[in-house]
Amino acid sequence: MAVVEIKDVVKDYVEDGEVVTHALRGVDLRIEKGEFMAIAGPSGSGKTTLLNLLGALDTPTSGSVRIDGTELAKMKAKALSDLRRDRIGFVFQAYNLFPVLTAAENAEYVLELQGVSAADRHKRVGELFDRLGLKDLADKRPAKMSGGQQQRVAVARAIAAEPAIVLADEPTANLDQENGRALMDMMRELNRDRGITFLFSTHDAMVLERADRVVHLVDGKVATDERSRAA
Amino acid sequence: MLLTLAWRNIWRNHRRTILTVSALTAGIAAIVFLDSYRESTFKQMIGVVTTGLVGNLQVHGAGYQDNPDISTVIPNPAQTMAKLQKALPGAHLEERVVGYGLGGSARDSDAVMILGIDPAQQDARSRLFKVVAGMGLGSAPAHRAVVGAGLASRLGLRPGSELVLLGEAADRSMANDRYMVSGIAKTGSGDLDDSAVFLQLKDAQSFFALGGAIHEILVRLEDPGAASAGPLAAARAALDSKSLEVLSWSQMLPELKGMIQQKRNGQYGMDFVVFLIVALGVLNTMSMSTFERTREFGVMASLGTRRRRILGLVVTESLLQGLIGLVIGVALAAAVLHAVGSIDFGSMAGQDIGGVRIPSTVTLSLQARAIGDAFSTAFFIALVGALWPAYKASRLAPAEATRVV
Repeated sequence: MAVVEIKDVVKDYVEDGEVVTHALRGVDLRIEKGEFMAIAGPSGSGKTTLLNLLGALDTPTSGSVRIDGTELAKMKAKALSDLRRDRIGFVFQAYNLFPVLTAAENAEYVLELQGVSAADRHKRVGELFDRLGLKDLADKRPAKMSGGQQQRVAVARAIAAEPAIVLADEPTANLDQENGRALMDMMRELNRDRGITFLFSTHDAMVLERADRVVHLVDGKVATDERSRAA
Repeated sequence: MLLTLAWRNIWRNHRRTILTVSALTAGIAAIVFLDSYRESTFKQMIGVVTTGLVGNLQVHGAGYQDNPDISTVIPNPAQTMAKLQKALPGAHLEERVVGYGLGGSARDSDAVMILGIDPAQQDARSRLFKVVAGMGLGSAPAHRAVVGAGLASRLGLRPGSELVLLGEAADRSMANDRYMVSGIAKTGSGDLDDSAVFLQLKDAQSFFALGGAIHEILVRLEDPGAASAGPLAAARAALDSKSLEVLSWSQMLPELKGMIQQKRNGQYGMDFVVFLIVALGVLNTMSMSTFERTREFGVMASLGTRRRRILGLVVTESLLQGLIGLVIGVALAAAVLHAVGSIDFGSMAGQDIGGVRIPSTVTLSLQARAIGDAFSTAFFIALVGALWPAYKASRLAPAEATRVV
């Protein structure tokens, strides 16, 4: 079963009753478990809109979005929150860690929402930080970390609750080449070792090179959907 | 983690939080100080009532409160006292005979209130009068009288003077007798000082031809300021309601109770003004605080935080500031109350309100009611100030909110 399946999705942005932007114009996409893929395209092509729909952060004007077989259209706000909490991990371009929490507490946040006990949270996040080489950052707050470190912690937060898919919106855009590569290496390792599905929206050629599959959006439509030979 | 997040969030902008908490503290301190000042005064006035003529509760023959006729009596005082003592263990009971008549001296005559009391039943809780000249009634009925200071002054009575009393006895015959003034007394009531003649209980029973009957049993509770509702219900349950009535001090002195309630209502009005001013300040703070964190709330929603939890986070932040303001405000008010110590009423002292003399000085102390008022005010300030910003934060569209810079 596909982790994500969207069919004929249209998204229009409306202002004062009039459509001002046709962001997506009938997109079909199927993402299987364990994929490591990127969505590319110029600004305004609909990458972010698509990511928002896949992340259950927004609803389509028409068409169907299914995550883990669950149709989102009929879900209420509370059920969508729970779906995001349990099945989707987010990595944002600007990291967006909670500034008042330490790195470890940030990573524990979603587990806490799920009702995991404090002891279990500490154990799971401790192991995760060990594995990702973030142990030294555990007690640091975001203000005391570099951008690269913050984004790695953001990835840890995204995967801590073991979601079905991690959606990363331009994850390397605010990082230098070295940190960008290190981040991509970390996510690739998680993809290979744990089978976590990753989907990036990006302009970054380095990210596109490393993705197994690249979907190009142009004017709200899928222009190309290419798989690398290695994949 | 909600509490940790809330606590750390309020200290992200130290200056703003300190300003907000300062406003809360000042408001709470003002409420606690004014409430405590008012309640300290009431407590002392109620103390005058409950330790003086009225007591916490009174038992009479049925209908006596509405029509205090000399023949409306408690026929078996000993039996009634025993039942009351059983129902109200720890309470102090006093028997009384109460009547009216004319008091005459060699110089003049005036209307008097004749009170028969048993001096043996007056304990530390009884402050019916304080002898300012001469002696009290002594332990045996010996035709002696203690006279209120105002009355003694008008009639020219001194210890050793002769006082003639005239009145109507319970059998409708004319009652008259002579008594020697053993002492001059002051009570907590101006009216009483101007009219009271205290006799030994047995002398008064004899004067009014009551036999062994009395007019009232006074109940003084262990704590003079204790609420009367519980003991009132217990006493009523223990006694025969057809032949006896039980009343609390507030039922016997409705004008005093009304005055206290009126003053409290006035204070509530002032509390509300403070509440409104501080709540607007908190609303401003919380609105700014949530507006600045729009993206953060968007991230929370994206990660699967339910709306109710975001609402709860913002409300908790406000409540924590309210709690800090409450603690510091109460401590500040307590310190000021302690430093002021007491207030001298000066020219107002000696006047009566609701039949009770205003004490010359009021000792100020932190009052439980004041803390209760402050607690509810702080709670509602924090709640009202936070609800709208919290609601707005919880309703943010995550896709848009995460993009706010």
